Amino acid sequence: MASSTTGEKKILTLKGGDNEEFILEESLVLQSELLKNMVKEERVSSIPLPSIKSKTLVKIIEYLKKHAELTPSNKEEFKNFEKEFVNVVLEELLDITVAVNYLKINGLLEFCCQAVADRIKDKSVEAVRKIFRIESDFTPEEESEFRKETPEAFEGDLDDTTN
Amino acid sequence: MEQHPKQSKPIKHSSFKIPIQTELITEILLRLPVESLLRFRCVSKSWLALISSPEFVKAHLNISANNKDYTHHRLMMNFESKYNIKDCSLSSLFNESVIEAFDLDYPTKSNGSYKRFPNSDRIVGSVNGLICLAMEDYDLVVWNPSIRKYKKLPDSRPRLERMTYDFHRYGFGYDEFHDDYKVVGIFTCGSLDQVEFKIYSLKVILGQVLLIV
Repeated sequence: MASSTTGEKKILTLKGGDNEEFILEESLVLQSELLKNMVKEERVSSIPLPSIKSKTLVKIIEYLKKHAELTPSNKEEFKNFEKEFVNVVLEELLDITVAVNYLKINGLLEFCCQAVADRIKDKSVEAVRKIFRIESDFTPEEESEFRKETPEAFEGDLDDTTN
Repeated sequence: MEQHPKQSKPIKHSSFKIPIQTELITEILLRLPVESLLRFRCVSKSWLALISSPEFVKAHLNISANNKDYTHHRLMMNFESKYNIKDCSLSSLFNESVIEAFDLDYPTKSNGSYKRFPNSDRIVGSVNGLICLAMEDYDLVVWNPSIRKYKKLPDSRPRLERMTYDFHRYGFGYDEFHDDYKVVGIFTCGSLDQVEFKIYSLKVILGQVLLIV
């Protein structure tokens, strides 16, 4: 077993966008490339993350802890945790994905991107525009051209909801 | 470790959004099925440009091809005796006890443009999601089933002295060096002094039509 005792563990404070502070072991945040660089190069003990909501940060810290505990014997349990992890409303999932991208937590980023893709794949064009806050810059005529060109992509029960 | 809300101030639930970066949008879109991508091309001009870019097409293919569950892989079979093309999903071979193969519904089969010799169509080959078929043994068609588009290649069979060929073979492959798909044809009338090779470069013929996704 590792010889380090609790007393030797380095502690780091993350400050979420709502000024809420999260105190955790430094080793946990090393999964984030961004924080790893900050910790290693600048030797900081407190990192402000004003662009990340505390709610989002809570989720991400939860993931970091679970991932740190991952062993070959609890792989199934971790998979179930991952499934539950992304089982949130789409807006929250996007917040998490954006934050994970910013923090550069690579394995989790791919997982989140796949989860977002799975959630939007059956959505209508209008729903996707709302979700990503995009204004259409096509004319209705141009838009109907797409529909004519590949009608099969617009058939079936498309989901108009944004959650 | 434990969360310590230092201040007891009420937490604001206002949304402070980081704009979603293009790179992140790309990562998400790369994981969508082709059908969704075709639909989302009309979300905006920037999405259209992204989805149609050759870099995106390549990266998307790469992710689909490396899918560990073989979700997007299919197996095609050509039965020499009947010249009948069937296909089944590759994942079913690993996961199911009974495998069902279906008649492949390829272009020009259903529209009846080839009916002189029904069932004489052959698979020439398949690479990167493109399939090359020889209709009625000779006419070449390159087909992208995921976007349901195809192109006929111009007939450029060599005119050998004797008009009939005893033997011809086609091959289909990807030339990584030139980033081009190519069909190679070998034609002979049986004797070695009359052998002709033809290479069809698809870059010129297809343009971007087949490579949209």
